[in-house]
Amino acid sequence: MIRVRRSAVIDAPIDRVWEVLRDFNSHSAWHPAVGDSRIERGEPADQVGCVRNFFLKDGNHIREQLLALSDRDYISTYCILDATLPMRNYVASVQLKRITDGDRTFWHWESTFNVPKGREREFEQLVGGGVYEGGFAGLRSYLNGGTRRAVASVEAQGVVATAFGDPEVLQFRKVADSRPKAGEVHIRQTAVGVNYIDVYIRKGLYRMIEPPAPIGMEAAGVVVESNARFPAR
Amino acid sequence: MIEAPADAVWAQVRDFNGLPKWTPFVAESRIENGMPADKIGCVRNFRLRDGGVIREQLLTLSDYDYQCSYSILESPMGVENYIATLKLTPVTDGNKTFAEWWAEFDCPPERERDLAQNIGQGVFQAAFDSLKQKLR
Repeated sequence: MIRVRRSAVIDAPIDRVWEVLRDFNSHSAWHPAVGDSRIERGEPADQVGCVRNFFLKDGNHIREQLLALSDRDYISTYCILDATLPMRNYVASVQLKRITDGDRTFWHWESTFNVPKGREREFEQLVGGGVYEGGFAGLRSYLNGGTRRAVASVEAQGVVATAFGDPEVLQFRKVADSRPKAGEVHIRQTAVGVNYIDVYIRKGLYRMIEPPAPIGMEAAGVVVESNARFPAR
Repeated sequence: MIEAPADAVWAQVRDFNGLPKWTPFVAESRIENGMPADKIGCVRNFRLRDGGVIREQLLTLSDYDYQCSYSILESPMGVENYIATLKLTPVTDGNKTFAEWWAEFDCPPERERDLAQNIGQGVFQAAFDSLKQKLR
């Protein structure tokens, strides 16, 4: 049995996040890995027992059933009925909590399931990194209206995907960076993480960039310019 | 404790529009706006045998945890912020069911005792007793 757990903070009020996530058929609008999706038999997407029938952008086909939905506790629980992936006994749960400090949302996503022996690590990464972390990033972008950067630029260096493909498409380049918009800060990065989702983005599996564009989703650093509540130093 | 498997008990109580089928005090019930009875947010509008009308909204339904919670929108009982939860737990030893039903609400202090008694015994326990008969 594999247990996958991921969580994130979304910078939006809980009711805004829940409005999207309580809709069992909304994932095709916000999740970068999900293609076409429909609810079978024309049932409402908030009816317990309804089945969503969808394709992943990599071609896999999955049917999932809504097992529990709570507007009171902000919980949605569902299982896989059929999948072209070798996952068995998959039950997943999404739960939101209100972060009163700043009116943000804590999002916990977890599941348990079985896979063929020897493929545990692969599926832990696929589900935890590709599906859950990819979903966090996708929802953030969706709530921001899918907006991408613009405005005046400062000079920076970055690892740029010049096209979708194997690692050869990556180049270390000067990149144009924008000044921080409202709610954003500009940081000088001192450490960066490389995540599995970066591989999916580089391959073009998740269309979260249009090459040429820098990739990478995780960094730590020093705030050099702030357009948020945090002071620069 | 109910002498029946949790699946059988859940099949009875899961239906948010099913109170007339298993409780002794509900005369008739309907779901407003023609919604399915397992759509979260749906409202059941039911009439008690004594004539009172109650409207309750479905907040949570879990086929996974055998649990249902709902709030009162309107009732003649004079309670506010009423939220009730009905939860079943399978008892593996004997294939029986542990059923719990509880509510939280606000009311004038002098009515607390009576309301707790009326709801706890008059509603929840009475419904359980009737359910036991039905599933015997």
